[in-house]
Amino acid sequence: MWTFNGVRIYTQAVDQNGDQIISELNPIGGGSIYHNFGYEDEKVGIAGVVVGETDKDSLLALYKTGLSYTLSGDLGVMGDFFVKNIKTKRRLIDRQTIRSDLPTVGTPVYDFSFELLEDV
Amino acid sequence: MFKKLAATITGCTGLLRVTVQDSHVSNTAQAVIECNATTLDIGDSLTVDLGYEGDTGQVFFGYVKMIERKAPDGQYVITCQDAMTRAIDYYIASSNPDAPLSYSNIKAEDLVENIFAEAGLTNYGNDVSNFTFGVVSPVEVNLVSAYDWNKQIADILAFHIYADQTGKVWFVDRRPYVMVGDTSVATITTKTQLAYTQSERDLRNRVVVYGSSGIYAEASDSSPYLPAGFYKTVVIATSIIQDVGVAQDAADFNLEQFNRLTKQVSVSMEGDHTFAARQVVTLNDTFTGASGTWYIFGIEHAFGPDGYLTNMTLRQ
Repeated sequence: MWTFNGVRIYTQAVDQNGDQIISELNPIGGGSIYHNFGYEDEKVGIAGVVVGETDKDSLLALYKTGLSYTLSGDLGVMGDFFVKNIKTKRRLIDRQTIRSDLPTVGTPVYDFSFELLEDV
Repeated sequence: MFKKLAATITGCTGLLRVTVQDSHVSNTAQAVIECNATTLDIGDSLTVDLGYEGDTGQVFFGYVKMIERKAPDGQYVITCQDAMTRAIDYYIASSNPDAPLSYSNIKAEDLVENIFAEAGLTNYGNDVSNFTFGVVSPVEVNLVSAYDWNKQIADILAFHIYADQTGKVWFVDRRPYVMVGDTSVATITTKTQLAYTQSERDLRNRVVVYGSSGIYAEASDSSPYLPAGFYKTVVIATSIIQDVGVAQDAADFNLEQFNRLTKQVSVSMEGDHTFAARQVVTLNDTFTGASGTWYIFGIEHAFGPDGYLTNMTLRQ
Protein backbone atom coordinates (compact mmCIF):
# COMPACT_ATOMS: atom_id res chain seq x y z
CA MET A 1 0.00 0.00 0.00
CA TRP A 2 1.22 3.51 -0.84
CA THR A 3 0.30 6.88 0.60
CA PHE A 4 0.15 10.32 -0.97
CA ASN A 5 -0.12 13.12 1.54
CA GLY A 6 -0.99 10.39 4.02
CA VAL A 7 -3.97 9.15 1.99
CA ARG A 8 -3.94 5.40 1.31
CA ILE A 9 -3.69 4.22 -2.30
CA TYR A 10 -3.75 0.50 -3.11
CA THR A 11 -1.28 0.75 -5.98
CA GLN A 12 -1.52 -1.44 -9.05
CA ALA A 13 1.07 0.22 -11.33
CA VAL A 14 3.86 2.78 -10.97
CA ASP A 15 5.59 4.49 -13.93
CA GLN A 16 8.69 6.63 -13.85
CA ASN A 17 9.37 8.57 -17.07
CA GLY A 18 12.08 10.91 -18.22
CA ASP A 19 12.63 12.99 -21.39
CA GLN A 20 15.74 14.57 -22.77
CA ILE A 21 15.25 17.68 -24.97
CA ILE A 22 17.05 16.88 -28.20
CA SER A 23 16.60 18.60 -31.54
CA GLU A 24 17.73 17.03 -34.79
CA LEU A 25 19.36 19.03 -37.58
CA ASN A 26 19.69 17.50 -41.04
CA PRO A 27 22.31 19.43 -43.03
CA ILE A 28 22.47 19.27 -46.81
CA GLY A 29 24.63 16.31 -47.72
CA GLY A 30 23.16 14.03 -45.06
CA GLY A 31 23.91 12.96 -41.52
CA SER A 32 22.03 13.99 -38.41
CA ILE A 33 23.34 16.42 -35.84
CA TYR A 34 21.75 16.27 -32.43
CA HIS A 35 21.64 19.24 -30.08
CA ASN A 36 20.93 18.57 -26.42
CA PHE A 37 19.19 21.52 -24.78
CA GLY A 38 18.48 19.89 -21.42
CA TYR A 39 16.02 17.43 -19.92
CA GLU A 40 12.63 17.25 -18.29
CA ASP A 41 12.52 16.25 -14.65
CA GLU A 42 11.20 12.76 -13.90
CA LYS A 43 7.46 12.23 -14.05
CA VAL A 44 5.78 9.55 -11.97
CA GLY A 45 2.51 7.83 -12.90
CA ILE A 46 0.50 6.02 -10.25
CA ALA A 47 -2.53 3.79 -10.90
CA GLY A 48 -4.39 2.29 -7.97
CA VAL A 49 -7.53 1.89 -5.90
CA VAL A 50 -8.85 4.29 -3.28
CA VAL A 51 -11.57 3.24 -0.86
CA GLY A 52 -14.12 5.57 0.62
CA GLU A 53 -15.51 8.99 -0.12
CA THR A 54 -13.25 10.75 2.40
CA ASP A 55 -10.00 9.54 0.85
CA LYS A 56 -11.32 10.21 -2.63
CA ASP A 57 -12.18 13.82 -1.81
CA SER A 58 -8.86 14.33 -0.03
CA LEU A 59 -6.93 13.27 -3.13
CA LEU A 60 -9.09 15.28 -5.54
CA ALA A 61 -8.39 18.44 -3.54
CA LEU A 62 -4.64 18.15 -4.06
CA TYR A 63 -4.44 19.27 -7.71
CA LYS A 64 -5.76 22.75 -6.96
CA THR A 65 -3.37 23.88 -4.25
CA GLY A 66 -0.08 24.45 -6.10
CA LEU A 67 1.71 22.61 -3.29
CA SER A 68 3.78 19.44 -3.33
CA TYR A 69 3.02 16.38 -1.19
CA THR A 70 4.96 13.35 -0.01
CA LEU A 71 4.65 10.09 -1.88
CA SER A 72 5.56 6.98 0.14
CA GLY A 73 5.73 3.46 -1.22
CA ASP A 74 6.79 -0.02 -0.28
CA LEU A 75 10.46 1.01 -0.59
CA GLY A 76 10.12 4.13 1.54
CA VAL A 77 9.63 7.83 0.84
CA MET A 78 9.96 8.62 -2.87
CA GLY A 79 9.95 12.38 -2.49
CA ASP A 80 7.61 15.36 -2.77
CA PHE A 81 5.45 15.74 -5.88
CA PHE A 82 2.99 18.12 -7.46
CA VAL A 83 -0.20 16.70 -8.93
CA LYS A 84 -0.10 17.44 -12.68
CA ASN A 85 -3.37 15.64 -13.38
CA ILE A 86 -5.68 13.17 -11.69
CA LYS A 87 -8.39 10.84 -12.98
CA THR A 88 -10.89 8.85 -10.99
CA LYS A 89 -13.64 6.37 -11.84
CA ARG A 90 -16.00 4.72 -9.42
CA ARG A 91 -16.29 0.97 -9.64
CA LEU A 92 -19.82 -0.37 -9.90
CA ILE A 93 -19.62 -2.77 -6.98
CA ASP A 94 -21.78 -3.01 -3.86
CA ARG A 95 -19.27 -4.35 -1.36
CA GLN A 96 -15.54 -4.15 -0.57
CA THR A 97 -13.18 -6.05 1.65
CA ILE A 98 -10.04 -3.94 0.99
CA ARG A 99 -10.38 -1.80 4.09
CA SER A 100 -11.63 -3.53 7.18
CA ASP A 101 -12.09 -0.22 9.03
CA LEU A 102 -14.84 0.79 6.60
CA PRO A 103 -18.26 -0.90 6.07
CA THR A 104 -18.16 -3.83 3.71
CA VAL A 105 -21.45 -2.80 2.12
CA GLY A 106 -22.02 0.72 0.85
CA THR A 107 -18.40 1.96 0.83
CA PRO A 108 -17.52 3.29 -2.62
CA VAL A 109 -14.35 2.09 -4.35
CA TYR A 110 -12.54 4.26 -6.91
CA ASP A 111 -9.92 3.60 -9.57
CA PHE A 112 -7.40 6.45 -9.49
CA SER A 113 -4.57 7.46 -11.80
CA PHE A 114 -2.15 10.35 -11.22
CA GLU A 115 0.63 12.07 -13.10
CA LEU A 116 3.05 13.55 -10.57
CA LEU A 117 5.89 16.05 -11.09
CA GLU A 118 8.79 15.90 -8.68
CA ASP A 119 9.39 18.99 -6.54
CA VAL A 120 13.15 19.49 -7.10
CA MET B 1 27.07 13.68 -33.87
CA PHE B 2 25.76 14.80 -30.49
CA LYS B 3 26.44 18.19 -28.94
CA LYS B 4 25.30 19.60 -25.65
CA LEU B 5 24.22 23.23 -25.94
CA ALA B 6 25.75 25.73 -23.53
CA ALA B 7 25.10 29.41 -22.91
CA THR B 8 26.10 32.06 -20.40
CA ILE B 9 24.18 35.31 -20.15
CA THR B 10 24.93 38.00 -17.59
CA GLY B 11 22.38 38.03 -14.80
CA CYS B 12 20.10 35.35 -16.28
CA THR B 13 19.39 31.81 -15.10
CA GLY B 14 17.01 29.15 -16.35
CA LEU B 15 17.56 30.11 -19.98
CA LEU B 16 14.68 29.11 -22.24
CA ARG B 17 15.56 30.78 -25.51
CA VAL B 18 17.81 33.52 -26.89
CA THR B 19 17.92 35.21 -30.28
CA VAL B 20 20.68 37.61 -31.34
CA GLN B 21 20.26 39.57 -34.59
CA ASP B 22 22.54 41.99 -36.40
CA SER B 23 22.82 43.32 -39.94
CA HIS B 24 24.65 45.86 -42.06
CA VAL B 25 21.53 48.02 -42.30
CA SER B 26 20.23 47.79 -38.74
CA ASN B 27 21.26 50.67 -36.48
CA THR B 28 21.88 48.29 -33.59
CA ALA B 29 22.20 44.57 -32.94
CA GLN B 30 19.44 43.15 -30.78
CA ALA B 31 19.24 40.27 -28.30
CA VAL B 32 15.95 38.85 -26.98
CA ILE B 33 16.36 36.55 -23.99
CA GLU B 34 13.66 34.35 -22.44
CA CYS B 35 14.52 32.97 -19.01
CA ASN B 36 13.06 31.94 -15.68
CA ALA B 37 14.98 34.33 -13.46
CA THR B 38 17.08 37.45 -13.82
CA THR B 39 18.89 40.04 -11.72
CA LEU B 40 19.08 42.48 -14.63
CA ASP B 41 17.47 45.89 -14.56
CA ILE B 42 16.85 48.48 -17.27
CA GLY B 43 20.11 50.00 -18.44
CA ASP B 44 22.33 47.17 -17.15
CA SER B 45 25.06 45.94 -19.47
CA LEU B 46 25.28 42.29 -20.40
CA THR B 47 27.11 39.80 -22.57
CA VAL B 48 25.71 36.77 -24.35
CA ASP B 49 27.91 33.72 -24.88
CA LEU B 50 26.51 30.85 -26.96
CA GLY B 51 27.78 27.53 -28.20
CA TYR B 52 28.38 24.03 -26.97
CA GLU B 53 29.84 22.43 -23.88
CA GLY B 54 33.53 23.33 -23.96
CA ASP B 55 33.12 25.72 -26.92
CA THR B 56 31.24 28.94 -26.29
CA GLY B 57 31.94 32.47 -27.50
CA GLN B 58 30.60 35.97 -27.10
CA VAL B 59 28.03 36.95 -29.71
CA PHE B 60 26.62 40.10 -28.10
CA PHE B 61 27.43 42.98 -25.78
CA GLY B 62 24.80 45.56 -25.02
CA TYR B 63 22.31 47.11 -22.63
CA VAL B 64 18.89 46.11 -21.31
CA LYS B 65 16.16 48.20 -22.94
CA MET B 66 12.98 46.36 -21.90
CA ILE B 67 11.96 43.64 -19.42
CA GLU B 68 8.63 41.83 -19.76
CA ARG B 69 7.31 39.46 -17.08
CA LYS B 70 4.75 36.94 -18.25
CA ALA B 71 2.04 35.13 -16.30
CA PRO B 72 1.19 32.33 -15.74
CA ASP B 73 4.51 31.15 -17.25
CA GLY B 74 6.54 33.23 -14.81
CA GLN B 75 9.02 33.87 -17.60
CA TYR B 76 11.06 36.99 -18.30
CA VAL B 77 11.53 38.34 -21.81
CA ILE B 78 14.50 40.71 -21.89
CA THR B 79 15.18 42.88 -24.93
CA CYS B 80 18.68 44.32 -25.32
CA GLN B 81 20.48 46.49 -27.86
CA ASP B 82 24.16 46.88 -28.52
CA ALA B 83 26.41 49.82 -27.61
CA MET B 84 25.19 51.90 -30.56
CA THR B 85 21.97 52.45 -28.61
CA ARG B 86 23.88 55.08 -26.65
CA ALA B 87 24.39 57.08 -29.86
CA ILE B 88 20.77 56.55 -30.90
CA ASP B 89 19.46 57.78 -27.55
CA TYR B 90 21.85 60.72 -27.26
CA TYR B 91 20.17 63.78 -28.74
CA ILE B 92 22.42 66.75 -29.31
CA ALA B 93 20.66 69.96 -28.31
CA SER B 94 22.66 73.02 -27.40
CA SER B 95 21.48 74.91 -24.34
CA ASN B 96 22.01 78.10 -26.35
CA PRO B 97 20.62 77.83 -29.89
CA ASP B 98 22.99 80.61 -30.97
CA ALA B 99 26.04 78.65 -29.81
CA PRO B 100 25.63 75.07 -31.08
CA LEU B 101 28.33 72.40 -31.15
CA SER B 102 30.52 73.24 -34.17
CA TYR B 103 33.71 72.07 -35.85
CA SER B 104 36.05 73.59 -38.44
CA ASN B 105 38.61 71.91 -40.69
CA ILE B 106 38.01 68.52 -39.18
CA LYS B 107 38.61 65.13 -40.77
CA ALA B 108 35.48 63.03 -41.15
CA GLU B 109 36.83 60.25 -38.90
CA ASP B 110 37.70 62.79 -36.18
CA LEU B 111 34.27 64.42 -36.43
CA VAL B 112 32.58 61.03 -36.06
CA GLU B 113 34.83 60.17 -33.12
CA ASN B 114 33.96 63.43 -31.36
CA ILE B 115 30.23 62.91 -31.85
CA PHE B 116 30.44 59.33 -30.55
CA ALA B 117 32.36 60.65 -27.54
CA GLU B 118 29.52 63.12 -26.85
CA ALA B 119 27.33 60.03 -26.37
CA GLY B 120 29.89 58.37 -24.09
CA LEU B 121 31.22 55.98 -26.75
CA THR B 122 34.97 56.38 -26.50
CA ASN B 123 36.07 52.88 -27.52
CA TYR B 124 36.38 53.75 -31.21
CA GLY B 125 38.13 52.57 -34.33
CA ASN B 126 38.22 53.96 -37.85
CA ASP B 127 39.59 53.86 -41.38
CA VAL B 128 41.17 56.95 -42.96
CA SER B 129 38.66 58.81 -45.14
CA ASN B 130 40.59 61.70 -46.78
CA PHE B 131 37.47 63.86 -46.31
CA THR B 132 37.56 67.15 -44.38
CA PHE B 133 34.48 69.08 -43.26
CA GLY B 134 34.03 72.63 -42.05
CA VAL B 135 36.53 74.05 -44.58
CA VAL B 136 34.51 77.09 -45.72
CA SER B 137 32.41 77.61 -42.58
CA PRO B 138 32.01 75.67 -39.31
CA VAL B 139 29.89 72.55 -39.36
CA GLU B 140 27.16 72.92 -36.76
CA VAL B 141 25.81 69.85 -34.98
CA ASN B 142 22.49 70.50 -33.27
CA LEU B 143 18.99 69.00 -32.92
CA VAL B 144 20.06 65.57 -34.11
CA SER B 145 20.95 62.29 -32.45
CA ALA B 146 24.63 61.30 -32.35
CA TYR B 147 23.78 58.21 -34.42
CA ASP B 148 21.85 60.10 -37.12
CA TRP B 149 24.65 62.65 -37.46
CA ASN B 150 27.39 60.05 -37.81
CA LYS B 151 25.20 57.94 -40.12
CA GLN B 152 24.85 61.00 -42.35
CA ILE B 153 28.63 61.40 -42.51
CA ALA B 154 29.03 57.70 -43.28
CA ASP B 155 26.40 57.83 -46.05
CA ILE B 156 28.10 60.80 -47.73
CA LEU B 157 31.42 58.93 -47.87
CA ALA B 158 29.88 55.49 -48.57
CA PHE B 159 31.42 54.46 -45.22
CA HIS B 160 29.77 52.39 -42.49
CA ILE B 161 29.25 52.83 -38.75
CA TYR B 162 28.46 49.99 -36.34
CA ALA B 163 29.15 48.57 -32.87
CA ASP B 164 30.83 45.17 -32.67
CA GLN B 165 30.15 42.30 -30.24
CA THR B 166 32.55 43.78 -27.67
CA GLY B 167 30.92 47.22 -27.62
CA LYS B 168 33.52 49.04 -29.72
CA VAL B 169 32.13 51.46 -32.32
CA TRP B 170 33.60 51.70 -35.78
CA PHE B 171 33.67 54.13 -38.73
CA VAL B 172 35.05 52.15 -41.66
CA ASP B 173 35.19 51.88 -45.42
CA ARG B 174 32.94 48.86 -45.54
CA ARG B 175 30.49 48.23 -48.38
CA PRO B 176 27.61 45.72 -48.03
CA TYR B 177 29.27 43.31 -50.43
CA VAL B 178 32.65 41.67 -51.02
CA MET B 179 35.33 44.31 -51.66
CA VAL B 180 38.72 44.05 -53.31
CA GLY B 181 41.17 42.81 -50.70
CA ASP B 182 38.58 40.98 -48.58
CA THR B 183 39.68 37.55 -47.41
CA SER B 184 37.45 34.81 -46.11
CA VAL B 185 37.64 34.03 -42.40
CA ALA B 186 35.67 30.77 -42.52
CA THR B 187 33.82 28.35 -44.77
CA ILE B 188 30.15 27.62 -44.30
CA THR B 189 29.46 23.94 -43.75
CA THR B 190 26.53 22.03 -42.21
CA LYS B 191 24.00 24.03 -44.24
CA THR B 192 20.40 23.02 -43.48
CA GLN B 193 18.61 25.44 -45.83
CA LEU B 194 19.74 27.71 -48.63
CA ALA B 195 18.17 30.13 -51.15
CA TYR B 196 19.96 32.21 -53.80
CA THR B 197 18.38 35.31 -55.35
CA GLN B 198 19.46 38.10 -57.66
CA SER B 199 17.66 41.44 -57.80
CA GLU B 200 18.02 44.96 -59.20
CA ARG B 201 15.65 46.40 -56.58
CA ASP B 202 18.41 48.28 -54.74
CA LEU B 203 20.35 49.20 -57.89
CA ARG B 204 20.86 52.95 -58.45
CA ASN B 205 22.89 54.07 -61.44
CA ARG B 206 22.65 57.84 -60.90
CA VAL B 207 23.68 59.74 -57.75
CA VAL B 208 22.93 63.45 -57.31
CA VAL B 209 24.57 65.39 -54.47
CA TYR B 210 23.28 68.75 -53.22
CA GLY B 211 25.58 70.58 -50.82
CA SER B 212 25.56 74.09 -49.42
CA SER B 213 24.56 76.99 -51.68
CA GLY B 214 25.92 76.53 -55.20
CA ILE B 215 27.59 73.19 -54.43
CA TYR B 216 26.30 70.16 -56.34
CA ALA B 217 27.59 67.16 -58.25
CA GLU B 218 26.37 64.11 -60.15
CA ALA B 219 27.66 60.69 -61.18
CA SER B 220 25.92 58.18 -63.40
CA ASP B 221 26.59 55.13 -65.51
CA SER B 222 24.56 52.83 -67.68
CA SER B 223 23.59 49.49 -66.24
CA PRO B 224 23.38 46.21 -68.14
CA TYR B 225 20.39 45.34 -65.95
CA LEU B 226 18.31 48.40 -66.92
CA PRO B 227 17.06 49.66 -70.29
CA ALA B 228 19.56 51.79 -72.22
CA GLY B 229 19.35 55.42 -71.13
CA PHE B 230 17.26 54.57 -68.03
CA TYR B 231 18.48 55.80 -64.66
CA LYS B 232 17.34 54.99 -61.16
CA THR B 233 18.38 57.99 -59.05
CA VAL B 234 19.33 58.48 -55.42
CA VAL B 235 19.87 61.93 -53.90
CA ILE B 236 22.23 63.01 -51.10
CA ALA B 237 21.33 66.46 -49.81
CA THR B 238 23.21 68.06 -46.94
CA SER B 239 24.52 71.54 -46.23
CA ILE B 240 27.71 70.24 -44.63
CA ILE B 241 29.16 69.52 -48.09
CA GLN B 242 30.83 72.85 -48.81
CA ASP B 243 33.27 71.89 -51.55
CA VAL B 244 32.62 70.74 -55.12
CA GLY B 245 35.42 68.19 -54.87
CA VAL B 246 33.83 66.63 -51.79
CA ALA B 247 30.44 66.61 -53.55
CA GLN B 248 31.88 64.85 -56.60
CA ASP B 249 33.74 62.29 -54.50
CA ALA B 250 30.53 61.57 -52.59
CA ALA B 251 28.66 61.06 -55.88
CA ASP B 252 31.39 58.80 -57.30
CA PHE B 253 31.77 56.65 -54.16
CA ASN B 254 28.04 56.19 -53.78
CA LEU B 255 27.58 55.34 -57.46
CA GLU B 256 30.20 52.62 -57.03
CA GLN B 257 28.27 51.32 -54.02
CA PHE B 258 24.77 51.42 -55.53
CA ASN B 259 25.30 50.62 -59.21
CA ARG B 260 25.35 46.85 -58.86
CA LEU B 261 23.08 43.85 -58.93
CA THR B 262 22.19 42.46 -55.52
CA LYS B 263 23.27 38.83 -55.31
CA GLN B 264 21.96 37.40 -52.08
CA VAL B 265 22.02 34.03 -50.38
CA SER B 266 19.87 33.14 -47.37
CA VAL B 267 21.44 30.23 -45.51
CA SER B 268 20.76 28.34 -42.29
CA MET B 269 23.53 26.32 -40.70
CA GLU B 270 24.36 24.63 -37.43
CA GLY B 271 24.98 27.35 -34.85
CA ASP B 272 28.48 28.81 -34.81
CA HIS B 273 29.33 31.67 -32.46
CA THR B 274 32.42 32.61 -34.50
CA PHE B 275 30.25 33.97 -37.33
CA ALA B 276 29.29 37.65 -37.10
CA ALA B 277 27.79 40.30 -39.34
CA ARG B 278 30.28 42.10 -41.60
CA GLN B 279 32.64 39.14 -41.91
CA VAL B 280 33.56 37.66 -45.28
CA VAL B 281 33.10 33.91 -45.59
CA THR B 282 33.28 31.20 -48.23
CA LEU B 283 30.21 29.37 -49.47
CA ASN B 284 30.03 26.70 -52.13
CA ASP B 285 26.75 25.02 -52.95
CA THR B 286 26.08 22.73 -55.90
CA PHE B 287 22.28 22.90 -55.57
CA THR B 288 21.93 26.64 -56.20
CA GLY B 289 25.27 27.36 -57.86
CA ALA B 290 26.22 29.91 -55.20
CA SER B 291 29.99 29.89 -54.79
CA GLY B 292 32.96 31.98 -53.75
CA THR B 293 33.39 34.59 -51.03
CA TRP B 294 30.38 36.31 -49.51
CA TYR B 295 29.80 39.21 -47.13
CA ILE B 296 27.67 38.46 -44.07
CA PHE B 297 25.01 41.15 -44.56
CA GLY B 298 22.76 39.91 -41.77
CA ILE B 299 22.94 37.24 -39.09
CA GLU B 300 20.70 35.63 -36.49
CA HIS B 301 21.89 33.28 -33.74
CA ALA B 302 18.79 31.33 -32.66
CA PHE B 303 19.32 29.23 -29.51
CA GLY B 304 16.63 27.18 -27.79
CA PRO B 305 14.85 23.83 -27.49
CA ASP B 306 14.86 23.61 -31.31
CA GLY B 307 18.66 23.61 -31.25
CA TYR B 308 21.28 26.23 -32.08
CA LEU B 309 21.05 27.61 -35.60
CA THR B 310 22.88 30.46 -37.30
CA ASN B 311 20.79 32.03 -40.05
CA MET B 312 22.58 34.42 -42.39
CA THR B 313 21.94 36.72 -45.34
CA LEU B 314 25.00 36.87 -47.56
CA ARG B 315 25.80 39.29 -50.35
CA GLN B 316 28.47 39.12 -52.98
